[in-house]
Amino acid sequence: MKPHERKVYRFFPAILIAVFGTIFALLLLPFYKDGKMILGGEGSYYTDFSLITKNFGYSWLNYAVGIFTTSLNYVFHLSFLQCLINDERIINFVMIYSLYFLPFLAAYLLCLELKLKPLPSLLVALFYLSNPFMVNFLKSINQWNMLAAYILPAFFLIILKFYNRPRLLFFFFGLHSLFFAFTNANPPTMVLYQIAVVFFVVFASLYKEKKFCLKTIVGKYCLVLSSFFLFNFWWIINWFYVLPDAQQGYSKEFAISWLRGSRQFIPALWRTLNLTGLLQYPINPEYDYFARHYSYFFTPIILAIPILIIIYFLFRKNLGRKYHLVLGLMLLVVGFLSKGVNGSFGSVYEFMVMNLPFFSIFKSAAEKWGTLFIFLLTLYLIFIFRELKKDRLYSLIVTLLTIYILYSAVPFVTGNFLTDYKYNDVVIGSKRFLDKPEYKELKNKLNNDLEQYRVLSLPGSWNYQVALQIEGKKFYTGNDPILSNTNKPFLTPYSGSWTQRFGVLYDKISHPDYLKLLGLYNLKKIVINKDMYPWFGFREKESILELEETFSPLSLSLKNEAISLYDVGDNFLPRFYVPTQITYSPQSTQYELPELVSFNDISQRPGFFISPYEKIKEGDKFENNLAKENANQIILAGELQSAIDEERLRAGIRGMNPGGVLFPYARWKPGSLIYPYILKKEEKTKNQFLNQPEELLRQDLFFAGKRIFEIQRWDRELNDKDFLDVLGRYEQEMNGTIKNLEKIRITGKDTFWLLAEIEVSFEAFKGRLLDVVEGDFGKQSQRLKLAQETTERIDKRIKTVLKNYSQARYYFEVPEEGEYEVLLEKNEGISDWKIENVSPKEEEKFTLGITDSPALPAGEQEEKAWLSFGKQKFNKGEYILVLNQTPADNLLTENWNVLKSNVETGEVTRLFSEMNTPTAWQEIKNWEPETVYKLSFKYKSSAGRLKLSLIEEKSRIDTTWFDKGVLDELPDKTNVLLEEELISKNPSEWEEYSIVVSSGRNAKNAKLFISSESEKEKLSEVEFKEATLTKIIEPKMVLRKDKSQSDSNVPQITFQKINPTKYVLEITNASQPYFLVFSESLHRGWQAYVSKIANCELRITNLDGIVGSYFGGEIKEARQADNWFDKKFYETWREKALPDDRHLLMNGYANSWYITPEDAENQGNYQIIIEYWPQRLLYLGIGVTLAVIIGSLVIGVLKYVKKS
Amino acid sequence: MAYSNMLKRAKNLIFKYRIYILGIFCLGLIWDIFFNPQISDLAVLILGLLWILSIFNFKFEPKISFALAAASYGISFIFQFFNQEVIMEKGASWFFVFLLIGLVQSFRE
Repeated sequence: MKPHERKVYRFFPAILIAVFGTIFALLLLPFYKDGKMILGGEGSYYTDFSLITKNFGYSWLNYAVGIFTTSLNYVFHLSFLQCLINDERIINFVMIYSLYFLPFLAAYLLCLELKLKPLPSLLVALFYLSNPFMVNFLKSINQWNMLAAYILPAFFLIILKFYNRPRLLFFFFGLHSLFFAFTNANPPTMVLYQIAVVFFVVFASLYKEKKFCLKTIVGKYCLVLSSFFLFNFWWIINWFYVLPDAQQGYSKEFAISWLRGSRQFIPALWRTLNLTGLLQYPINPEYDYFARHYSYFFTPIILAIPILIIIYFLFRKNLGRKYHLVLGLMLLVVGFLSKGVNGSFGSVYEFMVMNLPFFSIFKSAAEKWGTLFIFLLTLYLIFIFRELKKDRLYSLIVTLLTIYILYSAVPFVTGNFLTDYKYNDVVIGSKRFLDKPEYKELKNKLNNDLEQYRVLSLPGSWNYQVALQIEGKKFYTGNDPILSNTNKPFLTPYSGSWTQRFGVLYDKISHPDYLKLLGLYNLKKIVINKDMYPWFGFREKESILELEETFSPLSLSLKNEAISLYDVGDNFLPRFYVPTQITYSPQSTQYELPELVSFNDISQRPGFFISPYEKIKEGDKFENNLAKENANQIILAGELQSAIDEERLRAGIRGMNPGGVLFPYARWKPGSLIYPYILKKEEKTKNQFLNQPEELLRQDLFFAGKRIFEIQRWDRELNDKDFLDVLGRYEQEMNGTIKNLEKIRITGKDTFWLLAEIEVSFEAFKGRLLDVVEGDFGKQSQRLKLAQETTERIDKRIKTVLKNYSQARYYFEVPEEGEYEVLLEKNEGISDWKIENVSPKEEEKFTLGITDSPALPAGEQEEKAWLSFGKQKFNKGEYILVLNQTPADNLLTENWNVLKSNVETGEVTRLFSEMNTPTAWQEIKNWEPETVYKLSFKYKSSAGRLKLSLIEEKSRIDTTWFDKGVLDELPDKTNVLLEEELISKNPSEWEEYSIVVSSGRNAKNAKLFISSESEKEKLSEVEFKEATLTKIIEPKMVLRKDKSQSDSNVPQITFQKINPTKYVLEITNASQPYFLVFSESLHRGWQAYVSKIANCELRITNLDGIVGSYFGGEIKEARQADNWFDKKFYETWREKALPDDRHLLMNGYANSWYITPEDAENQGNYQIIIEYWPQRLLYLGIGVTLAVIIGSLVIGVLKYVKKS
Repeated sequence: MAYSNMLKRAKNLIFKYRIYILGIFCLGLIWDIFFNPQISDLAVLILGLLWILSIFNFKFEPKISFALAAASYGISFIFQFFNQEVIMEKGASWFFVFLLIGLVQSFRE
């Protein structure tokens, strides 16, 4: 070889890398045409990486109402780049480019390290990047998760490269893992790396040492592990603190439910072998480019190539080398895990989820284990190429793999590797995001505002991924890329920690006192984004136009074609405030806040001691003597137990929704030998509660859920008899549940909630059962028909129970005795109503009528007010008050219109015919929107069936998406509220029918149709009488007790945010005890330190300027310091924090502290530091990491000096 | 002593009926892949055990296991063109099982 040829050969690998890098850059460029960039999905919605560090680079996140950190999100390379080039599209290009280029580079360098020649190395690296699994994995473009494709080969490469140089291995492995620490953001991926590292060390040791030496393996592993641990100590230390909180995320049962989902039969192992585990199944070629590309008749032949090469290798080579075998075994184990709970031995995975600590985090088996599987397969191919290079079929193998790669490269070459997808006929999801000028204007507006506040995001998407119209029917789909790139936390229906939900902010927008709620959440601005499409539906009932009408009294901070930004004005409450009107309402949740807040004025800076949803759901509530004694008033919102409105029942009250229902795990298959014993055991468990119907009900519901899980798990394997048995048992359990509910209906205080629980659980059971059976056996199957019949029967029984709850009963738990004013929400025709105490104690019984002077605090709008029923003495304990209403008017008349002949009207209306469908109908008088009605009548069907329809007409329809050209047709102006067919059990007897319906939001009028139907040319004859339709009014009822607290002096506050984990407050003129509210979510990590002014330098007065002044200057906000590293980070380390018993939950989510003059040694002016103390752990961790880096460098330099 | 005698007798018995064991295994494998509509872990366990016994009885090389793995994969491959999902998955399962047994055999050798 000539010298210049040798030079070219030496640089050949680098040339190949450069060529690939250039080609890929060129392929990526078209995505950036017309000012667009690549964004979308669950993780790739950030464009400002410096902002990420500011919002999420602390142990407490500036997200929603704040949440503890599990991972510290410093994307170093992109943050550094942003310091140099402040162009979000270039940063985005680098991010996407590195997602694809880095895995290729690592795989390529690994091939070279394993002594593969440059061209085969290129082939293998391209295989790694372009196989169907990897392209589908990478298209999620989440820089936190998808770089796993790079980390796995990179980790292995470093271990292999420096295997014999321990110091360098320690240093480079640690430094590299430190730089890519953000790739550990996803807990399962973080654990996967650690499992992979064990594999890598074992494998590298066998490869290098050519023998199995446990001592060496353990030694090397400890070296690698300690390197990772010490270099990443700065974030790992945080995990020791947050682990108990993070574990509450989801249960093992949830993981199993997720893994199984509503499944169809999936050939999981087959998909693993084909590397199509992340492709849709069954493939719908219309979904996206990949689905089409891998659905041609010949693609299975191409997809079989890697496995065929492996099979050939197994036959050709004598597998004497241990590392081949170990790699093969690893491949099999990981391949088996990547199929999750599906297919053969799926129960092994279930067993691991249920019994191995933390294994439940691997709920997305195909994605997590699949990534490792692909890497190990690539590694295997490297060795195959190495071993077979002199084989006679080597050229054929190379050719086959080249064909595979060429086929896999087609999506890249055609620019479809980040393909659009067809979500439905309307939405085409796209990753080409256009940061419109309107969006930029909003971001600038919010980012330049110096005040601290939160933003309410509207419309409220049901899914955390939103759909934003980019052009025509193309929508960006992913997390909100606009508000996520601002320094203001924002609230959405899904945001918040596991125990905090903000549904009330979306469900009660039309409530007259709604705006008062916003201050309690530190919300100052409301954003309405008109580009947001309801692809999963919106949480609120109001359309975008109606939202704009509702907020029109507010001042507009910004208005452009896409965005309206409103300022809530005087309804704002700053991050810190001292409430002057404190309400104690332990029975209430955030859902009752609109009622509670209507008794207060925002100028009084209200504070509410209420319970969070989760606590109430668990049968617990917030109760605290300190709060009770210091409250100005006790307000008890009555728990309405009439439950006639199903819709309201399902509105996610108290966190209940079908999606949250868990399915108990079943280990034994129905029909198996052991199954009868399991049933006996269940029976025995239930027998323990024979005298406790409430508990028995829960047991029945639990086992009903278990039956559904059994069907889900073994549906295909059950024979018809076993299937019927399980279905029958499910019905039996549900009937038992309803029967027990009937038993406790009269006396039980929790009846309403139990009914809600049954309703919600049944919805979930029904959905899962029908999905599974339909998925396994198809729409026409007998099993599906049986399942449908069973659910219909249960549904009817539940509805019968609902009918019995037509009387409005209110349950109260009075926390202390005293005189309470009984108040009822104002409504028409309420003047004659009476409130009666039906509590068991005879001496406490009373009946109250309305008093003359309803001189009560009302909401800001006059139509919403409370009517007083006078004051009444209540003892501490439970009360049930019943509202005796005067009978409501029947909205139906005797005059029925006739649509076809053969209708006889009169006292009894008779419909009969052989040919047509005789119908009686009438328009309902005074039909009102958003109102509950009860319809009832008696009927007989001698032949055929009675068909009932209630159809309402809307006064307005939302034409936004039709006008924008997204919808081809205008939305329907009519709304079918009710459609049901009734058949008499006994044709000669009258049967009663009754149902409750709710009118729609924009309902104008409604018509009721009753017709007679039968099969073709058969006689139909039905009769009905006594038809009534009445309006049901269920006003809120509250008990209110005024506690005359001495006029407390309110101290002045000036506060400054140092960073998201630290605030400094300057308090002046404090002479009385007070509650200090900090509107950030309650966590044990938040501590308050009170220091006397004499000993402490005031920090705020030295700083430049006040950015916000509220309540006549009583609360001031200083410009935030924005110091990531507070110079005085140590100032509280030796101080004593206020005791935990004075750290209370306020407003259902926020922190509050009870502060007394003694805390400041009776000084009137002093300083309080509010600190999230685990931030100290981060500082400590950074210290350790820095020491390790410096120590390693110093040792390295010393060694070098000594050596030279 | 009694235990080792029993073990010896069992071994002898298994060896004596080795051809039947192999036959049952072959028939069982065909039944499981083509005629058993359910995915049965028990069937895989029993048939896998029979194959391991046959390996000991006939001193099969790992390549035989690999050949069976290849055949299972072939069945899977062919039946995907006929949309026979259960057979596809059965073939893939047996591919994994035979590969696992073959690799362990190679490791032992």
